[in-house]
Amino acid sequence: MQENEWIEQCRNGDTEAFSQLALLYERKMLNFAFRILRDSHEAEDAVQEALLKAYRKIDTFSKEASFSTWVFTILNHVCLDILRKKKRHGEDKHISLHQESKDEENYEVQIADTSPGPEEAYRQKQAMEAVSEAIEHLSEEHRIMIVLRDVQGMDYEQISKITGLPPGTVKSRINRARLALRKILEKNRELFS
Amino acid sequence: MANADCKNIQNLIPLYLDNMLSDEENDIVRNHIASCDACKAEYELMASIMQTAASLPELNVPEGFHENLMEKVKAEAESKQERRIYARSWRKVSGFAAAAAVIAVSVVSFMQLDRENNQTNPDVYLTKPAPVSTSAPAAKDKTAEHEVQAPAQESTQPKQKKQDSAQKQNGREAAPAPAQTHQPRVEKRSKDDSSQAAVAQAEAEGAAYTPEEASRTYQVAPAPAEVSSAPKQPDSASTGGSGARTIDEFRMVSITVADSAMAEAEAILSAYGKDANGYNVGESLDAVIGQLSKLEGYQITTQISPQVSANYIVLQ
Repeated sequence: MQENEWIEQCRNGDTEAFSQLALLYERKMLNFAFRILRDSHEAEDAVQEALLKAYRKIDTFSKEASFSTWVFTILNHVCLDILRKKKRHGEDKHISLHQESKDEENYEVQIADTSPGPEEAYRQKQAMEAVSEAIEHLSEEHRIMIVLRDVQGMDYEQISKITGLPPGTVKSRINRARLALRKILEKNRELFS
Repeated sequence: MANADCKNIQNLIPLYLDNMLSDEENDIVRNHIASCDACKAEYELMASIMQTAASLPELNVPEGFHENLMEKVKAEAESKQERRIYARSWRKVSGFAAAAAVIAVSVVSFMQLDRENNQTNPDVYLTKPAPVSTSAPAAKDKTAEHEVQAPAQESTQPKQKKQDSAQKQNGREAAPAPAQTHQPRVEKRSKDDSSQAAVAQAEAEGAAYTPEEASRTYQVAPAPAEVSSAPKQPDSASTGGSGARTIDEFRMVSITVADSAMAEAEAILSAYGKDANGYNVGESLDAVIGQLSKLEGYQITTQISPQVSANYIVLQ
């Protein structure tokens, strides 16, 4: 597998191989960090820090594990550290992603081109904004679960490894996180019918 | 359907959607949703929310992000390479240093062993001989002579023993180098050149040293319990002495230093245990003497004594 070859070359100090690995995961990592930290600049810093750490620790990466899971584990720790520092300094006030990201050129909309009509397209856009904002309002614990499971599409086992939580805890937290998200979106129920 | 049941079912819908329930729970939820409009609507709402979350727009990677990252990675790679080179050099240096240390320790140990096995030349312990003085010794001689003569009675025994052993030797074949076993003898080591004549006289008298005496005084040692079968050799510090010591013999060494050097001398000896006989320096006697010999006013007197079971140093 190409990824394994790049990893091996990285161990030998090949920075070009690491460049290829980084290109594979930068975007997903950036969006994870963005959803968790709710700040695009902090998200960029977090991802750079996490990838640099991954390069430094490449010798400790076990081939039996998934590189994606490993690098997201590092990123998760970096994001949590940032959130803790923000809390300590009282900087954890909620900032709406919608205010941060008014520049829509930064976004690549992933709605299928077969969406029926402008009304439906508008409804879907509204629904996405509502979900996006609702995720921001979740607690840190629930937000991580929703972003990893529902936004990033990771499975329960991966989430258990990334967060370091037992599978049973992951299961119950995802359940509670989704119920919490559902409760926030009660007022926008009509967007999802 | 009762609301309580609907509440329970709705709480299970998130995991039901991921097929994370047990088979039994799956069946219960599926059957209930099929027959309850409220729970069916709830199931559809939850599914739509999750689908929307999966479709959320993603940020593009900002321009320059990857280049900026790779600059840091390359800087890290160079730094790692420098650390490797440094570590390699350091390993070489420390390897050489370790080898040199092992060789040095081996040489010192060998020299130590050689000294301990040296049975013919106690002169190795002598400090640098000082030039002989003509005037001072006269006065010192008188003092030494006086002190030596006091215990005159005791001095006859070693003399007698010398005669006995000489007779024995005459009647025998030449014996191998005798071991100095039980006859206490005095070795005068001093930087004080004026006492060399006193040393010679004291040796002739078979004088011995006791811890209570000043380092330059000599007394005859008590007679040993048994006579050694080996012929006794006359001992003289100036000639380097004769006869080998057995490992059973231990020495009591009296050392005097100047007042200004006393603290340093005590610091050197503080590493060793002290009892009524003095500082028990054991196998380190030569090393400690070497250290103390560098101090100001250093003077040494050594007595080989059967009364002690280890090498002792007494600081005067």
